[in-house]
Amino acid sequence: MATMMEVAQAVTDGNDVSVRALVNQLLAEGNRPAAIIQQGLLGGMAIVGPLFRDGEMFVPEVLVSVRAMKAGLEIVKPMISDTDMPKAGKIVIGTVKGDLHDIGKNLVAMMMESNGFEVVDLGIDISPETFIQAIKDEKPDIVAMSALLTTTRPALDETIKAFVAAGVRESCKVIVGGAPIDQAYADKIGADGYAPEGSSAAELCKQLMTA
Amino acid sequence: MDKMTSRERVRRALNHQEADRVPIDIGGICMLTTLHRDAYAKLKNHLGYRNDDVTISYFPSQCVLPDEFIRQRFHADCYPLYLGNATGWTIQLQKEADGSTFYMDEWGIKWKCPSSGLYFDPVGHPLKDFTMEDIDRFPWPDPRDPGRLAGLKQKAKDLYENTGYALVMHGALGNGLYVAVQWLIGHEEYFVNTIVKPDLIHALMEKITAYHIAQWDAILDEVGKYIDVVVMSDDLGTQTYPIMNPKKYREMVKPYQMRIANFIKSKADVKIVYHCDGAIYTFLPDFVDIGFDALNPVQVTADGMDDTARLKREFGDKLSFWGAGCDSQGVLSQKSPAEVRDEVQRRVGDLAAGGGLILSSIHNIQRDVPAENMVAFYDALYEFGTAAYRK
Repeated sequence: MATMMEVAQAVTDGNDVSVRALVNQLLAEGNRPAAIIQQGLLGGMAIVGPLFRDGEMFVPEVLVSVRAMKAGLEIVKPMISDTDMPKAGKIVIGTVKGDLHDIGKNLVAMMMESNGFEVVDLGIDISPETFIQAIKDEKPDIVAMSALLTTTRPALDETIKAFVAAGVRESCKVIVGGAPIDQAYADKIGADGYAPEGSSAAELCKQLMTA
Repeated sequence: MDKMTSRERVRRALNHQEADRVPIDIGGICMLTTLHRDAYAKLKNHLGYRNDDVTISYFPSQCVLPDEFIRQRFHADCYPLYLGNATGWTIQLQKEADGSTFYMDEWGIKWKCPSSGLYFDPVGHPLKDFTMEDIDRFPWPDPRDPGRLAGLKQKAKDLYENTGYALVMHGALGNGLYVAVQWLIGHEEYFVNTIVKPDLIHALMEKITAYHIAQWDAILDEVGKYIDVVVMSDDLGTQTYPIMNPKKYREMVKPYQMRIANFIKSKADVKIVYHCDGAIYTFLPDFVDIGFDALNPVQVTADGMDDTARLKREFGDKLSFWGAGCDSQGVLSQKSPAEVRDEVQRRVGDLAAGGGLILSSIHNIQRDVPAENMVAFYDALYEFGTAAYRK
């Protein structure tokens, strides 16, 4: 008999083959797909997040764990409807205009999804106008913006100002991150929060949802 | 002490001996200790120096080969040498519909600069989703193509005989190993495959290592007797943590770095400066083990790297520090000239004793740095670098 704990462990270990086998076994044993996602797959990422934050897992291992989780998700997701899975919230994420860097942003998006958020990833080099349109189309709870360079850092400020001018700033929380960003900078530009990496970004989003 | 040449000054520093002052590098590491072209234009304008003929020393970074005027004004001690393009190959810039600019390099890597961007980043990877057969079939460029070395020997000889500069030679592929593999296959694909398909990664690392060794063999045949320093590179840290498990690094990257470093040192009497950004304190003993002579840029804003006094205490007798001049994320562009000067004073105070320091900016100076800060920074390197060894 397979267990949810075994799935979670296989995700933590980054073993996509085991994840698929265990997920199929759990389904055959009559377990609900939503429970497999919540306790098994996201359960595994809930172990990975703190290990990554605390320097016991590194970027390659986290990417492999996400890959293993997605291997399981591929099997069960088609079996559930949108209403089966409780969503922690909706997040729009992107790297700001003029900046093509995305590994950090992708890791943050992965951690947010692993914590039950629906994430709309706009990609890289995203203008204020594109962010604003996404706010209007997606109605997110949170907008997360990334800048890796000191020279694209000002785009965070410009984008928040554009949100204010467009009348959408109050409709969502805004969080920022990236190598040259810190809490002081986030406060200065009027962001609602800052996180140094993906796991703490997901925690920050959970806190903002209850605020 | 008699006035020294720049070459003597840099040699003493890298041999852990004090000189008449701490050496200064502006553009000696051609893509890492210079200025972005927009920052350079600001600086020249501020100084009232006009020269519209600007040489870009490394195309992806859009950074410059500084003029002799700048080197003299700010007492720089290093001069860069780098490879040309393969015979008949030139950069062909193209525009995308979104206003960005791109080109395909000789390896088939696509480099893109967004419409309001300042540099080119690798966004297209010719060996994405590769197999072992793809590695064999890939049209590997020829490191011995004569175009790459055309004019290099004459230039090095000329600089060696007619100037006092320490000559810093650059290799291929941005001097990188695993980063070059990332450019070929994709960033995330590299990281994932170090765990799920390590044999494929090793096969690629073997190819890239062989390429670098053949390239350095050709380079050092030409200019080995004229140059003092060669550059190797691979970023191993993010802002806050190592990018990979140090155990993985020792298995997947270090042996190849060691092979190249050993080859270089067996071929020529040169020092190796190793570029590595980020929170990389944990790797410093490995760099010493490999035989890197100096670490660039000493990113003081990264976790574990701010305590430059500790870095000196723990590694200063084995590793020189090349960079460290001023916090480039929070101070150089954000604070006043006086605060920039204070920061330089602190770093020189931490790192200068007993040699083993070459001062430069921490990465290229960017256009958001006020011209007054650039001048204050470079002048402070000279002021405090001179005071440090004053007897």
